[in-house]
Amino acid sequence: MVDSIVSVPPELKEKQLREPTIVVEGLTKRFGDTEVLKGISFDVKPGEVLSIIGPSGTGKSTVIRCLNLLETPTSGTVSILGQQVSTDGRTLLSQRQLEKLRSRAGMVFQTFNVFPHLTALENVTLAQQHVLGRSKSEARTRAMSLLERVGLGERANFKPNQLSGGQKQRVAIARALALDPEVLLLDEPTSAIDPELRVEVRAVIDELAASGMTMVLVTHEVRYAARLSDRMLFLSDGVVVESGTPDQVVGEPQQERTRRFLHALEDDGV
Amino acid sequence: MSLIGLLSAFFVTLQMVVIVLIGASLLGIPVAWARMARFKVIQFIAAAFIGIIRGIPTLAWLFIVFFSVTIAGWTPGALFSAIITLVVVNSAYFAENYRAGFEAVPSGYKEASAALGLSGWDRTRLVTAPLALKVIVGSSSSIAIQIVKETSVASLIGAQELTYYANAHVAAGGNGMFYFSVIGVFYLALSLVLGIFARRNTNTESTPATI
Repeated sequence: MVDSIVSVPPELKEKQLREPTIVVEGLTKRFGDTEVLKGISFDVKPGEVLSIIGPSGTGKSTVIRCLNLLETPTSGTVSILGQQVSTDGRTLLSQRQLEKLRSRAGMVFQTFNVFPHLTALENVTLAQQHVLGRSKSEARTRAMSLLERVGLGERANFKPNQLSGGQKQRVAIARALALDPEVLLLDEPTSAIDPELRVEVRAVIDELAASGMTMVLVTHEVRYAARLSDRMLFLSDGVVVESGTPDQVVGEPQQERTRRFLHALEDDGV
Repeated sequence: MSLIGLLSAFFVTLQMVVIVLIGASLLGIPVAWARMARFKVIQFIAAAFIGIIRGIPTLAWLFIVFFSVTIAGWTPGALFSAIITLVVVNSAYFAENYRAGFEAVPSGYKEASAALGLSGWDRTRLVTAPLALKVIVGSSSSIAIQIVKETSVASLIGAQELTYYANAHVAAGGNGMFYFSVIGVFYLALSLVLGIFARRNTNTESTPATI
């Protein structure tokens, strides 16, 4: 719309389009004496799906939690949605700016964290009303269409304790999407769900990827991640061991550490 | 034994329980807020208040308050002194109870509300407080029952409630076992009513423990 009124030089427009959604440089995170992340760098371009794989306890979740500052990085730089949010342990945003930023970057948790005192519908309307200031009826309409999109239209008035893990996670995804986020951060979204019910959550994530949603996915389901992602990072002991397309990282891993990890998974039948 | 005397003593006890319950549970809110405040100085003052209050027997507090106001030349009466003492003492217990309720809310819900971009006040108001409340109502019933029983200390400074009534009759030659059993039934009835009220208002189905 704006383009038709103000003429943007083509090269600038091109640049804006290509500007990465997320840029992380030299990110470190220390919890007490333990250095969990030891200098991580990567970027995510608009419309791209990046997955972070690696053994447990290697800092995968910490990386994704540093992106919306649920964890404060110890050093390094994090930029997201065109804003530098943290550099060398300092948060560069005011509380208000941080809240605004978080509403633009949706997050889905391993443990769902769907609010137990609210119905599925209320979970999805809550932030629409109190963060975006949408009216109650507008929020409900949007929530209903999202719940239908994730296949839970008929469960809108159920409380979380009446829903399965897969259903709760789909409510959580609808809740995140309700704010029309520009990027979605998924922290092991299917790990805590029964294998049979993972399918329904994956279907929703697949559809989001196909619709062009920019996503960062932390997972240890390597085969699924390979199918879904444009690029993958293999993280071990707080460093990026290998990165590239799924064909490169999973198909032809260059590093011994990556190969060992993938072999272990194969032996395990995952 | 006069029935009217007994009932008026019971009424004094009931009046104390109601006022102390309301007063202490309200006063506990700012104390709990201070205890969870971001500023360490405020936190420390609240922690010191709670520690000192809870570390000294209620009976001792009652005498401290009663004699202090008397020395200060103010004579508010035994009942008033007892009510003030019980309100302040129990506010410390309520405050710790509120804090425990808030801390019992799993961090995942707090993080999820933060990740949505809700402001600090909205996070507390819309997510943390409603979840904490379910824990708090249940555990507050033990403080309520404690208050029922603690009102009896007021008899020692001359407030004419149930225990005072029994003591007075025994001192006049009445049967101790009889009089104290009678007032025991009244205390028990009050405690039971409060217990039932608390249980009705605790919704175990959606406590935060069930994720």
